[in-house]
Amino acid sequence: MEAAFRGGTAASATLVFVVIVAIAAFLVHKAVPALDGNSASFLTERQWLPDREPSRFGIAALVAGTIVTSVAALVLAVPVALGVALFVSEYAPPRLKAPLGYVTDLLAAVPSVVYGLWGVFFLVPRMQKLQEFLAAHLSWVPFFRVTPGEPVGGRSLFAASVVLAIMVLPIVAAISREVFVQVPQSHREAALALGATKLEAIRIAVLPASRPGVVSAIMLGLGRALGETIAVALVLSAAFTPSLRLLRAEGGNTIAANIATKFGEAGVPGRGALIASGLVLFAITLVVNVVARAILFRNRRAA
Amino acid sequence: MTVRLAAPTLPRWAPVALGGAAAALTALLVALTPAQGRAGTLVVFLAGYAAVLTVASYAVEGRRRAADRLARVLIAGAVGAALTPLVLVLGYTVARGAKGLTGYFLYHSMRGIGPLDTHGGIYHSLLGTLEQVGLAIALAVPLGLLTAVYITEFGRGRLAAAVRFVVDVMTGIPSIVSGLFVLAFWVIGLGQGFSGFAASISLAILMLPVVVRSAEEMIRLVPDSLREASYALGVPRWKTVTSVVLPTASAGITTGVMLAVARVTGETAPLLLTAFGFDSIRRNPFKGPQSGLPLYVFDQATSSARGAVDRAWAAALALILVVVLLYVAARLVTRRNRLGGTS
Amino acid sequence: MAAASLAALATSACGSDDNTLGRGTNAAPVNVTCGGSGTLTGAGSTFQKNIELQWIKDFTGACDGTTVDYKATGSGAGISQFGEGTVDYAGTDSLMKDDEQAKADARCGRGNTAIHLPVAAGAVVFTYHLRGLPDALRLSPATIAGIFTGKITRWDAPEVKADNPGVTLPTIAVQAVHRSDSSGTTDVLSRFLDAQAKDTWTLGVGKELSWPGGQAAKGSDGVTGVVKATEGGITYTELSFAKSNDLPWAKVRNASGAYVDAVGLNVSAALATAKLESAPTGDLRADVDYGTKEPAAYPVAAVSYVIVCDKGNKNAELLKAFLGYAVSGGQSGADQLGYAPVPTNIAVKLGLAVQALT
Repeated sequence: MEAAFRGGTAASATLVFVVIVAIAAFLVHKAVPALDGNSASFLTERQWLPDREPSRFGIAALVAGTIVTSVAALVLAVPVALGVALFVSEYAPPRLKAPLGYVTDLLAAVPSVVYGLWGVFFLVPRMQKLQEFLAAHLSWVPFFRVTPGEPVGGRSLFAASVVLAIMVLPIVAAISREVFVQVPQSHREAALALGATKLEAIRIAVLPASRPGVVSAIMLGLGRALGETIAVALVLSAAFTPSLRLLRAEGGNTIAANIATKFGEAGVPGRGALIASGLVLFAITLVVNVVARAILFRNRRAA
Repeated sequence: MTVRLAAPTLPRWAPVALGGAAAALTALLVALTPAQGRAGTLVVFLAGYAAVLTVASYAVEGRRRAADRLARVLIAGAVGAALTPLVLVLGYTVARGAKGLTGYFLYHSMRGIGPLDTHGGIYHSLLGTLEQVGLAIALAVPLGLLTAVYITEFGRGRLAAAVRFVVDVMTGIPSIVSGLFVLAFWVIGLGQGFSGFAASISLAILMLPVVVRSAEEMIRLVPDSLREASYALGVPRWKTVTSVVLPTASAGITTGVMLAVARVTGETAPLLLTAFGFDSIRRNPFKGPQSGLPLYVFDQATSSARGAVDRAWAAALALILVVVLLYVAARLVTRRNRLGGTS
Repeated sequence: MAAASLAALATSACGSDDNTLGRGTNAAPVNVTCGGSGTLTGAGSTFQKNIELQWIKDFTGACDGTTVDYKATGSGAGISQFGEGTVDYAGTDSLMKDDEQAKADARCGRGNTAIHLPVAAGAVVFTYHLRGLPDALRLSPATIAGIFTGKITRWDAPEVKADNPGVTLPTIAVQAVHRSDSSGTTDVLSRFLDAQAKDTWTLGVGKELSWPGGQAAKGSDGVTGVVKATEGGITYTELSFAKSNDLPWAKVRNASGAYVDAVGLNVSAALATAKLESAPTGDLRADVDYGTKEPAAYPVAAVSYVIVCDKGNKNAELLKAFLGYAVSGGQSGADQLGYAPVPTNIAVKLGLAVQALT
């Protein structure tokens, strides 16, 4: 019985290992023929026309769109998320702490399709004025530049980034909160006893000790933003010219959203091409997650 | 010459008074510049308040206190900024969806709904979601638990390290990639066709790492003294694990599982590629395409048929309710968690 | 606990597939000949979706014990799924390519062929959002090509003025919106412009094009949604989508020089001049003549096919009965839904082909 139990657990562990390796291997197997038939460079080509003769597709535009929206989302979300986390761990009266924690977790539990629906029907029309305002007055900010006469706003990269920001905010906030709470109370009290203000106590005692944890929280949020599919597919105007101009009404595209929108009409080479792009997404999120885990792990051992 | 022991501070009424000043400033700005809308006015007011308060504090209390006050205002602003979208998302969904969420809507499918019809319902999708998620739990939980037990109780060697790494990697699998895999491998490769079960597999792949991680953490929290007491009584290891370690950790593990369930219940992307969708009630999840609640929302949101958008909102509200119920249930279980661990 | 009670709610009280309360709102009397029983699944073209849903409503409402399900996944997916055997019939806006045909034939069994049946017809219209324009905009093929290739950037450009003499056009920018996904409507647009505006249209022919700019959205509902929200917007879409969004659409100049509206009769007139290619298997292909000289013809017309096996269909009785309704009684509701009835010359051949299915 002992051996059987041990064997059973080992078998499940092995199965989990095999499944993930199989996923990677299988996706590669499916992607290779499409990549072979590609007449353009997979890495630098901007068009996505895999079912044409000759087949022609590349991930340049998709990777650019994926990274730009995710990073913009983090720029918007991280300060707010850290503020919320600090509020819960440092400022909130004890009675408020638990409800606030529930509420941020709830924000994380709202399904992405609901965010997408809300983004399309509520947010985008109401953001038009703001986007036009930014384009008119803040076009000196690098990413807000617009070409005169070009349509501005609508379902732009910026709109998609805002929706993504709302989605990653609770993740970053929840993990950072856990990290802040782990800093021993005595450290804060020591700083306060020396006459530090609350802000100084946070800067001296809390933030330095939590830096690796916060970085890893941000990376995990980034992982979520990179892989988000349905919300982006609903909100973003899918253009195929890579551009870092967030406010262009022409929009952009991301790897995940491209898979969701193109899958219906894809032929056999098209499916292979989409799987290849899925692998790239897998690789990017893998790197991000492994780095995040490594930071967290190193931190744990040091602490 | 008098020695002042306490640094000068702003009187208690100062923030209120300065708030009034900021409001006046805002009114002036809004009146003089082109109208900015409600949200714009609020932003101008908050920025004005932060500026006025910081300046006043700097003049009276000095640089350090001013910085502290500014930080408080900014952090309060962050909390407001985080709560606003939550209120707007939930509020708008309720406003658009509540009137459509009727008994008829809950107990009818979309069978025979023409493009000009505004009725129809979500019963087939709700049933599909419950079956798909249930099967995903049946796949992921036993496998995840056994794996976690292996890692914590038995695994010392290379396999345990490899599995732990792989589980970390799995946490980051985008849901669409999981769907792609099941489509290419199960649906087409093995010729199984679209089914609710195919969706369950892709959902289980997404659940598995969460289950393993939370079970692993909870099992580690079980004090060694409990295990040792059991061993001292001559209880074999497998029995110790199944009747001492797992029951002690069960509440924490249940919470982890339910949070994972709440997460995958709302997944749309994998369903798109695996369950495919079906307008009539299909009770058997193993054969033939099936609908699911998130997929239903997506389909209706992107349909031109009359009434489709209203159906999308009502279904979105139902989906949120399902997820929130799961979430609240998970929290209730946590309260009874004897180990008092984090979730 | 809560989840369990929810599960109890959903499974204990039985839900219903019966949605017949709306039958009274159906204007056309339903004339269905039932046959077969069981389940039929179709997938593919989004162009067909609304009329398919109407056929399904009429047919399954009249015939007990039948279920028909159509999922608008897109033509490409429909064809692949038909070849893979996961659906009973596919809907597609364009003909199968050789490799697709081979796969579909293999699925039908030895010696059998997968055939095209043009069951739905409709117009691709140019729907726009311009405030204060009293009458329908008039557009020539060259102007349309200029707009979608980014050569015409303003509504008061000379080309638009030439099409609309005496009309005061708004002095705003043109916001051309195209499909982000591969689409049969893009294919129809490109074929029409390639044939009728060769000099201006430089993007070639296909379901996906290398657009030089402009906004994009997924699906017909996506592009019409953007136009609805964007002053100065214009896109190409099926008539039904323009109608359901309350957007106006342009009259288009045909090869006879007349500017024609996209009403059902004009579309049918254009399709009546299509070249028909029929095979003994029942395979029926319509080659639309975009340069038709018929004065009443709306030139941007399209047919959409279903693909079935000539012999060896899985649930042939039900398939025959369902398609039999689709090509006869089912055409009567076409106009109301924004489609056009299939012209009589095609409908006659269709009826025979459906009768011959086994």
